[in-house]
Amino acid sequence: MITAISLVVVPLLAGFSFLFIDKYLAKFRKLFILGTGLITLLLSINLLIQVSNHPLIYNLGNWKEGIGISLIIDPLGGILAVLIAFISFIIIAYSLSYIKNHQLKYYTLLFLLIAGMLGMVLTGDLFNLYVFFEITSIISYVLVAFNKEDISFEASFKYMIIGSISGILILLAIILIYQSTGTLNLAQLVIAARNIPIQLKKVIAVLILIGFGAKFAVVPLHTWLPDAHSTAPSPISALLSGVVIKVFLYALLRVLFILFRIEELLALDFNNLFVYSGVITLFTGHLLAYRQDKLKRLLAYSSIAQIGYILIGVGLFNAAGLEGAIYHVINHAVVKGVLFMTAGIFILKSKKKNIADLKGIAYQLPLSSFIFTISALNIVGLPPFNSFISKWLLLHAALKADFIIPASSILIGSLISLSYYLRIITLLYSKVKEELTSIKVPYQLQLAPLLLSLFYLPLALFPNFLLLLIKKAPLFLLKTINYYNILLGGEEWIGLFG
Amino acid sequence: MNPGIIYLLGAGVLFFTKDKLRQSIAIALSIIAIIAIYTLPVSQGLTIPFLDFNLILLKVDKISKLIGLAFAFFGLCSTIYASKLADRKYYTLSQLYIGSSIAILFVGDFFSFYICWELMTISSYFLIFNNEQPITKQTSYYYFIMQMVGAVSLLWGILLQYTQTGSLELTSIEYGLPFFLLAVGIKLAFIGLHTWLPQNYSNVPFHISVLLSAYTTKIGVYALYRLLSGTKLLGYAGIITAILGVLFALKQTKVRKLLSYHIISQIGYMITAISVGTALGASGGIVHLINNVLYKGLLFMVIGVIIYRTGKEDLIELGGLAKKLPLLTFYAIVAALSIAGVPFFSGHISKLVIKKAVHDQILSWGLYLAGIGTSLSFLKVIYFAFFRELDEEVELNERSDKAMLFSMGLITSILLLIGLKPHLLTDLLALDIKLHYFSLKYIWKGVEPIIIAIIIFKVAHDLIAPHHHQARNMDIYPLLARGINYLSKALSYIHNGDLGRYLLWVISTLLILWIKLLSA
Repeated sequence: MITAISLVVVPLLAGFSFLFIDKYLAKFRKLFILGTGLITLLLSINLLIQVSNHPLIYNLGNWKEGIGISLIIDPLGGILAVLIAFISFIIIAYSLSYIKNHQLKYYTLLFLLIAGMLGMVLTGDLFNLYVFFEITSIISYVLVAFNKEDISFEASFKYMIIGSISGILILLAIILIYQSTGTLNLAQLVIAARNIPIQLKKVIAVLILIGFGAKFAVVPLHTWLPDAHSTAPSPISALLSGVVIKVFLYALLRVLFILFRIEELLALDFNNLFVYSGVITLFTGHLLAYRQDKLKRLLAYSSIAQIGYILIGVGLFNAAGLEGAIYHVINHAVVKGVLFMTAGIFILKSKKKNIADLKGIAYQLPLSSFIFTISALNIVGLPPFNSFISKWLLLHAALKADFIIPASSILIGSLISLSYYLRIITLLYSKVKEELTSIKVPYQLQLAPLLLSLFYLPLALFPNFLLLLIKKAPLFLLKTINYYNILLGGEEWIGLFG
Repeated sequence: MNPGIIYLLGAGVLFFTKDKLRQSIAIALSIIAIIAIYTLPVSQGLTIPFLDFNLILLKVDKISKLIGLAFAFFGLCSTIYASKLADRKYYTLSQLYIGSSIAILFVGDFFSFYICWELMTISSYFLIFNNEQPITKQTSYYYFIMQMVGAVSLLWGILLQYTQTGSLELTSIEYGLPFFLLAVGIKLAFIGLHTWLPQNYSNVPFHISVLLSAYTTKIGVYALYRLLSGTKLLGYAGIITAILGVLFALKQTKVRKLLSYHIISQIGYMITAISVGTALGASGGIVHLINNVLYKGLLFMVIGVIIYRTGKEDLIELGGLAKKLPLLTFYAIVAALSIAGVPFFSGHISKLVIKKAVHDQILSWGLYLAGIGTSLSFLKVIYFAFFRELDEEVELNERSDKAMLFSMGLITSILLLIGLKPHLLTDLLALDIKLHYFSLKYIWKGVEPIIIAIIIFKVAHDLIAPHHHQARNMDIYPLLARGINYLSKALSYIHNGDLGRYLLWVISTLLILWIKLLSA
């Protein structure tokens, strides 16, 4: 029980107490940063173990539900919490040797970002969802501008403008929900939402679709992403691309499924909306990535494309599609994290951002280049790596649901992505006459991506272990009556445990 | 266990070892693998659960065992052959490549089949991509993309088959035929889809082309046999491939390019044989496949040694090597006689079985024509490389090629053995009918195309003699890339970074969605 709230509190407190640590206990700074990351990770794993069998509700200060703040954690929340904590931990380890200036500011913001994301996946009421949504967003704007270059200011500004619009829309939706139901508790909303008139519901749906959609960069609301993710410091890019956008997607799904029953969504043609916007998103992402000159910008566009894959899976509105989508979320977080981290190493070494300037860098950074290469093949969806497994799940689910064009576009997308990732790989391993630079890359910097890339094969060879957990997620996401039952503390989940 | 595993694990070991140790481990691994495959009991199986289906990691039958033996044997020879030139990259990747191609023979479900298929592509891509030959940067890129098109098409076919039948067992396919055709067609370098092959096999370092020549296309044939055997129409396509391949080959002067087109042509034979759909046809195709691994590999090894010792591979510049490299000449002649199908050499056996299996008149005549072309082009190679007298002699360097000659000797002896005692090979397949390979009628049939070829060679000597000619680029596939490029350019153009425009997109999406939903 207590782990649920401490999962938010630990990074939040750590963020603020870092001010003192930095000033008075500078010796323990590294230990403190790593320790906080590790504790958050352990707490989240502990939480996942609890909720995988018994989804739980935690009322802050023992207030009654509906009055106080409550956290409701179901298996999906648990899985995402572990994902956030895990990727964050790796990013923290990477940052320790990557970020040299303004560490105080950086780590304070980073911990707040982690707290915001964890809050979003754990929270049980709409109001706090909005609070954490804004915390995550605002910190992201700041971190994007962290490098204090002109382009990062511009990117952050664009991100902020579009982000604020989306924030307003979300707030509006929440106000409308509260006005018509009188509750903000997500579990209670399962029942209460049935009384919202259908016209109003549609308005709310539009607001949250655009509001959250702009945050996870569905085309044509994606325009801020390539700027923001490519100008942020590399570890932040990894975090933004890897987990932050997925957390917003989670929030959309959670709210949407609570407000609407599946039959209503299908009647409104939302499955087609999701799936085909996914198709458009993936083609736009891939085609734009195809011609990019800058490495991190290419990776950012590739993230948009991957969101497209996930949307196709989600849009099927059935268990198989969601399982594939969640598995792809995890795989993409891991792989994109590695790609951005290695891209950071390349940029640190060459001091250049263009792909063309990375020619022959593999002969100076063999390990990083090797990791980058297998990650690139991985994200293209080639076996024997993990992304292939989730793509297979997505493809199979889409075909079973008779979405032929979306399924085939997943494959065509893979082909396009191979064509641009292969171009980078070719360049990395081309021989050049003289050494690029004499800049030394710290050895520890390569440890974090190496560690993360070690998960590729286990994730690919033993998918059933993770799928066992993932299979429980749709039971609470799609069958929201189960989610409501968490409130009653009941054990009778429909279709779970047998 | 699947014998491919030996190589896949071995690749890891070879990555971390050095020099002599690495060499001996690689050879030892190959020998172990041969023994492992030889002792595999037929119809043994291994199944493990994965996702929501079962992977059949091991399923042995006569044909996979026989091809597996040929692959493993050639793997051993090519490892010995390359021992002077191989570096760490070569050892690791070649083991992955050989391992995945052997593994694919013994898997029994589509999922593992696809994984091995892709592993082959990935490992061969990195084998081709080579900094000593800058041109391979482009050719390997082309190779990977083209193979990926095939793989994607294969995956789509598999998924269609899986969703329709609910089973992933590797059998003749019922759904998604065009996709399987495309996938297999690219892999076995069907004419028209063959463009990746000659440019790659002729540009990589020669010890790598030896390796490549044996596996990739043959796996395509194997897939054809497993998935699509009995597709009658393919027979004609096979003949077209065989004849066009040979015609392209006749034009070439670079030996490796010539041999590459011959791979395509010989694949045509196998397609024709397998598409007949009878057990006899399939056996003919498979025996021809095994022969091809051996003698085509041997020919690539021959030209490899020539490149190694002279630095040249163009027939225009070569000549008179018979006196200087007598042993090599012997090997080359054996290989050439084998591929031409001269009686008492191995090609005769498989060609005869194929001829017996094919009853269609057009197909028989097509095979006959292709046979003449094959004989003619190898007359050309042998004569111009080894026996022609040149005004100024080709110089040899003093590099030692003992290991190479030794491995070629191994292959030559097997080839001769098959040629003289064909029952050793055909008994393994348990052919139903007894053919008297060396009856006078068959001997005459085998010699006939060669005599015609010799006559043509004499008559049209000037036409055939190697000379420069304009290379024409008829490859249309880059146009597809241009299409993607165009789309991408158009998309980049509308993403001009103007915030006002982006906001307009957001607002209009909001409005469109609103109107659409409220009016629904």
